[in-house]
Amino acid sequence: MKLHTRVAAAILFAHLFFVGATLHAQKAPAQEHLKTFDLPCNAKSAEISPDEQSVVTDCIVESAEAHPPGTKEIFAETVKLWDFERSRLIAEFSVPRGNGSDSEDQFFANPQVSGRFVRFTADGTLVEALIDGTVHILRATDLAELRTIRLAKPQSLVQERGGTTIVNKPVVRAMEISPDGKLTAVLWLRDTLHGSIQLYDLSSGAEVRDWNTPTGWIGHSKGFVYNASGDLLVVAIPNNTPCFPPNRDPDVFAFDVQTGEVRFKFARGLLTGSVAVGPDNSVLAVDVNCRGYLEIEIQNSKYSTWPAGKAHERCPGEDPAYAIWFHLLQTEVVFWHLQER
Amino acid sequence: MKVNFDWGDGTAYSVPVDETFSIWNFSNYEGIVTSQNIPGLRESVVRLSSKGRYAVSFGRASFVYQLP
Repeated sequence: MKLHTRVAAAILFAHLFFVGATLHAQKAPAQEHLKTFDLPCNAKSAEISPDEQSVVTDCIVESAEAHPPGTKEIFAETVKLWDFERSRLIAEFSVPRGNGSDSEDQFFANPQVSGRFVRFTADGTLVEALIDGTVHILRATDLAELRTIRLAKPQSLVQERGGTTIVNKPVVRAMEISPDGKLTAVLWLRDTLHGSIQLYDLSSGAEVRDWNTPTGWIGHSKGFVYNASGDLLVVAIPNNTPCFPPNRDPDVFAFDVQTGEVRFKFARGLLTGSVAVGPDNSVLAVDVNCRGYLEIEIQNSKYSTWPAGKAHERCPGEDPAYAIWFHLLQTEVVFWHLQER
Repeated sequence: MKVNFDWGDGTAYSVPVDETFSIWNFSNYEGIVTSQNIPGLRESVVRLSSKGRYAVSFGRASFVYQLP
């Protein structure tokens, strides 16, 4: 298979729900034993370099540093660059400990903390690590820190419930670098229903834009992605909470990076919680409902009609521009294309 | 995932029997490969490399996979 088509290959994180080997064999790609390479820890984030020679990881491990009896264990966080085929450590960056009230206090409590993200820029020259509210910009060859960007945390949302004041502290849900390597986008959860997106200039560290996301169950969203040209940020915001039926409200939003305005929004009757964008602006939308299976849609702005009724009746290969449906036992994978709005 | 039924409270619940990821070609929607069973994958994230030769999972199951 040509590389460019494999670049476009969508990895469909399909936890296949096997109820019978026969049906699986008919529908899913052939199962093979893939050659695997160990990562050094249960990484919180990882990404393979653009040249596919190395992988960068973020790991939190118990520190070798002694702690007095009766005190909490100390954890250390490191970003590591690995030649994974040779199991060779290329470079390491020890993340400075947080201090002050803004710190997530990750070194003294449960090491399972909120989002950490490591990403290569598309040209492979930089690694960006978002940890504890700070973006560390590292040189990809040796992970030397070039500069940092301290994120401006959105204002906490305050709610009154039964006479009790609840303060929801915002947490980072996702971070992505624009395809041209100039901007970093950060998705914050302000509470389960409210989110905001910030854009930072990678060279200056300045926040260049921010906007709130439409109200929806963004707490169940897996994040967002840029399209290939970098002019859109596509976000999944489920319109109901998992295990409840989806409604007709839009659950996929494409924001104009230049303005923060919604340029496209789609209502698909799913609980869309994750999206990916193909090179032709096709959008994969992954259902996160708790029905015991997984639905994935692809939407494309080139085509003018939605399939009416149940696209599930269509078969793979019938019309790739219209609708394709795979039924992987109890796993449903649906590819659809959508109209220009 | 298989479905079990709890006769005690009359509810159905799902039980994982296998954890795999699959890769399809985005151009023609043809299936490329399904991985072997990877314990812990359901509590992990999978990302594809930029040229499509590898995938990486992190979380409970942290590995790099060489794709066919």
